[in-house]
Amino acid sequence: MKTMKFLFGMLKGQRVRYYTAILLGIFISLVPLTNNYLVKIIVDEVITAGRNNILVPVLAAIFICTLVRVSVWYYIRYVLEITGQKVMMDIRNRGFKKILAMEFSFFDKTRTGDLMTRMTADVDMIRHFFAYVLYVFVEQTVIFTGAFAFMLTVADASFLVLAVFVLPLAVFMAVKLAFTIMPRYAKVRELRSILNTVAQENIEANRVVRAFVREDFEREKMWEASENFRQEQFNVNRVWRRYMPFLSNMQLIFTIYNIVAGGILVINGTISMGDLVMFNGMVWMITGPLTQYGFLANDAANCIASTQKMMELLNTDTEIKPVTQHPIKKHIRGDIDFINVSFGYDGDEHALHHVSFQVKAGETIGLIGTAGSGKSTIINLISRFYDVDHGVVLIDGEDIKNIDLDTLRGSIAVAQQDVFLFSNTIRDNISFGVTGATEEDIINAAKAAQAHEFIVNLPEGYDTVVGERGVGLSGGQKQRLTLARALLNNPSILVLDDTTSALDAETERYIQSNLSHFFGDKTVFIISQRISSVKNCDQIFVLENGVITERGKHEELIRNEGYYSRVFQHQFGDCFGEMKGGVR
Amino acid sequence: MAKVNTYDSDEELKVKMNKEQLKRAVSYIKPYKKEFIMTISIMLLATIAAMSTPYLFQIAMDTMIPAGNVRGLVYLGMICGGILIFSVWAHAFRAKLMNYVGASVVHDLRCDMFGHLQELPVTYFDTRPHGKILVRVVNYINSLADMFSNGLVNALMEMVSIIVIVAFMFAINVKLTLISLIGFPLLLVFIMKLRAIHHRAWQKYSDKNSNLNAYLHESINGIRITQAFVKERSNSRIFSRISVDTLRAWMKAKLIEFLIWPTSTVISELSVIVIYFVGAAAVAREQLSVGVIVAIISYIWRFWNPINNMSNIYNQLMTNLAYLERIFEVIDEDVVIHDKENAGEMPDVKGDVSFRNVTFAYDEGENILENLSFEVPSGTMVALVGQTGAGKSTVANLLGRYYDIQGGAITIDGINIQDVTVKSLREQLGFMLQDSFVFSGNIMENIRYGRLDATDAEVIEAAKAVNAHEFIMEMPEGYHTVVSERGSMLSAGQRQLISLARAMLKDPRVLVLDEATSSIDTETEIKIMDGIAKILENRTSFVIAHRLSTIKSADVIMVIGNKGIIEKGSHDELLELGGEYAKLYRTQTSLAQ
Repeated sequence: MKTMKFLFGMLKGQRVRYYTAILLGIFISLVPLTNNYLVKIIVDEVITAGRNNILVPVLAAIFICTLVRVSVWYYIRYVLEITGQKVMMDIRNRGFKKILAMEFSFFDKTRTGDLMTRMTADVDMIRHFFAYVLYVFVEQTVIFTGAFAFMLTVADASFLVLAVFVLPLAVFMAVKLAFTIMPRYAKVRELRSILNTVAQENIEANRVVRAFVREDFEREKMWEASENFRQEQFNVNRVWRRYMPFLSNMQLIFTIYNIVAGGILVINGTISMGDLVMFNGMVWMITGPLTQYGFLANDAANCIASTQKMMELLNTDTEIKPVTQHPIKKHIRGDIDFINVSFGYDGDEHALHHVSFQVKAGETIGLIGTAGSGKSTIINLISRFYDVDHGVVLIDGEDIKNIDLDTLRGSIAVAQQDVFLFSNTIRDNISFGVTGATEEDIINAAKAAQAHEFIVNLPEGYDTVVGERGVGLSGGQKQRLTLARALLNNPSILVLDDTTSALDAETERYIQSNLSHFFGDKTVFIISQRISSVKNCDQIFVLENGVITERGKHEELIRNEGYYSRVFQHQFGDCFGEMKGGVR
Repeated sequence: MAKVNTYDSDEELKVKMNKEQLKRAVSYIKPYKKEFIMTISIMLLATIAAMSTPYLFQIAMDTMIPAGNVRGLVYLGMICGGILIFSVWAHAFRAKLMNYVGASVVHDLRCDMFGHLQELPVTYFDTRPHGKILVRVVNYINSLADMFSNGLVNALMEMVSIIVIVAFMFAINVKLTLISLIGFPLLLVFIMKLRAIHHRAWQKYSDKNSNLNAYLHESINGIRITQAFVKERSNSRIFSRISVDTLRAWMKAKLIEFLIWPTSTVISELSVIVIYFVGAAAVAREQLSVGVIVAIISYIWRFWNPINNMSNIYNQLMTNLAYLERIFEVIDEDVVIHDKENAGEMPDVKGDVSFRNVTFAYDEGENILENLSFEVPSGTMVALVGQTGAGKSTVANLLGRYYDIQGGAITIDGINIQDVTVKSLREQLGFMLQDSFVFSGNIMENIRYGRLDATDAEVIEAAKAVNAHEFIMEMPEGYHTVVSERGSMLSAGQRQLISLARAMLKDPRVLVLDEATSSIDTETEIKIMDGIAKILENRTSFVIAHRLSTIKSADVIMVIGNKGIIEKGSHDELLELGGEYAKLYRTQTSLAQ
């Protein structure tokens, strides 16, 4: 019921035109009847009675009726199509917005293939419902009701008895078909998701597949997914076959009735031969719709399975609730406080344990630690991609939950570890964060990130189109583009999440010297595996298993002889001794 | 770089729909000939049976009722009941077979297309949005099922009805039949005239739809960036715009399609009008009886009914052709890296690698490498160093024959890699790439991807070797923790560890580590390198890394630049040389001061 309400709610704004079109549809389905009447005139008056003078006007009338009918038909089909398309576009746009609004944890659980299924196949089923199913349902119901009512006026009581048995049976079968087939369609769309996932991951991982020569393995994987999909089609068909053949052949039951019962009634003189002929002629008008109901029930069931999936997506609660009451939208300076923050990605296993620290606006913070120790988690929490489980994150002294989400994220620029570029020009990729960035801004950012030089050396410079994920560029080039993108954004808080790992030492050095004047009064987080990247930071945090184990300045940490100094020794073993003595 | 397609540019179509392509489409139905023949014969019987009911009714009216023969009526009713049972069975039979054929053709086509995708070079995937490939594998192919089964049978059945009806019409009156059929070629001419723009309209729609999918797919993958840069609204706007493009393309195609039914209806009405006009005159001259005219006209209606059904099938065909073209285009895509005709298997590799005068360019005229030569005896650890973009990864890629070189030769154990099958070559090389990909599934399965027949114990051993065991055990369900491709369950470093374990498990004779440890902290990296060092004994390896500390222990360090090797030697030798490497090394260490 809720599904239906949702579905029809989608028509909002188009109802008048849509329902008018359906009414017009009923109207033109009556036009052939007028034609039949005109034909009767020709046969009776012109041919039989020889009144040749009215032949031309009558034929003209038939022709005009036909023209009107096809024109109206064209209009109706247009309205149905465009309504279906608009509903689909609308729901797809809503779905898209919803996907963009979902927090990271949603994507941790949801496969791309599944989202793709919803946004392509499911929305198409909804389109089909409005562009076809609903219209045909109304049309067929009108035909059925009209024909049935007319037949009742001439029918014998025995026809009523037959109708009381057969018609509810047919309706029951259509309904039963819909309800039995619905869960099967839910299964089909699930398997379609898997199909999408297998294909999607294979395309995404094309390099891995080739490096490991897993082409055959992948083929088998796809074969299996495709085979399961095929088998499920058979299952759907099994349900279909149980009901549909009977619904398609209903008219034969009435033919039997007409021959046997009708024949007896004529013999008894209860009805005339003419009545029987007419009655027989009208049978298809009530059985045709019943057959159609079977098809429609099937399509409707499919549509409902899809609608439910879309509703599920649209009604998924974002765990990160936008601030409702008086969100703070002012400029963010960049003071950050973590007070006793704990957080886990899936509830139990904690990625951060009781982490507390204080950062003043304008400070540069280095984060260092083993893989999975919680460095990126801290950044995710500052951008509020996740909400903390315990404790508070304050920015400029305000609980992060009271700050307008767009303002917050707009003030933070992250050069991500997991480089992602869009298949677009380099220019658009750099200016992604900023609407209306000037050419000069873009070039400056690129220069600061040491990307300008290689960009201008590309055949089309800043207009070079890079593939999805920046394929075609080397790892270091991609990193420099993400860096430029973050820099152009000119944020209050800048995060460099392992942004220089794929760069050679020289480039990194240039970037570092360039960046320092870019930092200005920004709060900067530098996550790195390299001591060289973080050594000049105002504070350096060493993270181990979600706990800050060491903190302080470079010199202090070296003296600490903990993780930091060990790493330092590994990376700069040669000059370590000298350093230790030489520290001021 | 090759031309890259994006979500807002339509793709060029390389395949033209012609006889060849149609033949090819037919070849997919051929294996199901038996099912088609069975279905069509059963349906013919069912149609004849259904057609006979008016005849039975006729007998009832003409003979049984006037004679008051109730028993006869009951017999007729029983025959009709028999027809009912047969007809229900025939419909179920047809539904079963056609569903089987439709689903199977789609399955075959998908497996063929997907199979071919596996043969295509990485450049194919690099130069177009992945969403565009995806939509072909799943959505386009699925939409063909009905055409390849019911569409075909219906077309045949309708054709049979048309022939039967025309035969009846000729039997009644040749002249009137000829007059009434004049409209039919007219309709055909109209449809033929329309065909070009009709087809183009659906192609356009398929392009726009493909763009939409590309953008959708990319948006889902890039969600983190979008959210981090607060670009949700402007992305939604772009999506809406592409959506509107798709809607327009669809409506345009549909509005062309919708012209067909009105035209055929007007033509059929016109032929009726002409018959009345001619007929009325003929009756007046007493050349014709009224009955003949009425009969012919009722047949005209019946004649146009299957024509209209056929035009629906035709519309379905036009829609699907646009998809079919794209599908065949993928299947026809050149695999670029071909095995030589008499290519043999790469024998078990020892690991002597040599590049002789290798020249390579991604795009003609822009050589990345020129006359690159080096020899590496088996068991050597080679480090490749150089500026970003100098061609380090290219050297590694050439070894795995991801691209074919323009000049020179690459040999392993003296065998030119172009003389053996690509598969047997790559089978013996281990590649640990910059981008680590994690499949959705559990961690155990992800590592086992390296060697499918590896036992759990072997998987764990590989994980231990690269120091991944520890963090895996800390996951909620250890090796059975389910991870997703984009999930943040794993950090970038952890993902690298998993793909490293994968490469370890493969246990190759020649190993390439391309920035394989860039996201891994130094302490772990050192442990890994220790672990790998043991495994690497007696194996050839190529290591690309920026942290020079990682590669100091390499047997040979090659500095790549200027389209070739600038310097070559051990760490100490190169430092002594005082060239590029020494400069790089000094820069990196001086960063510590």
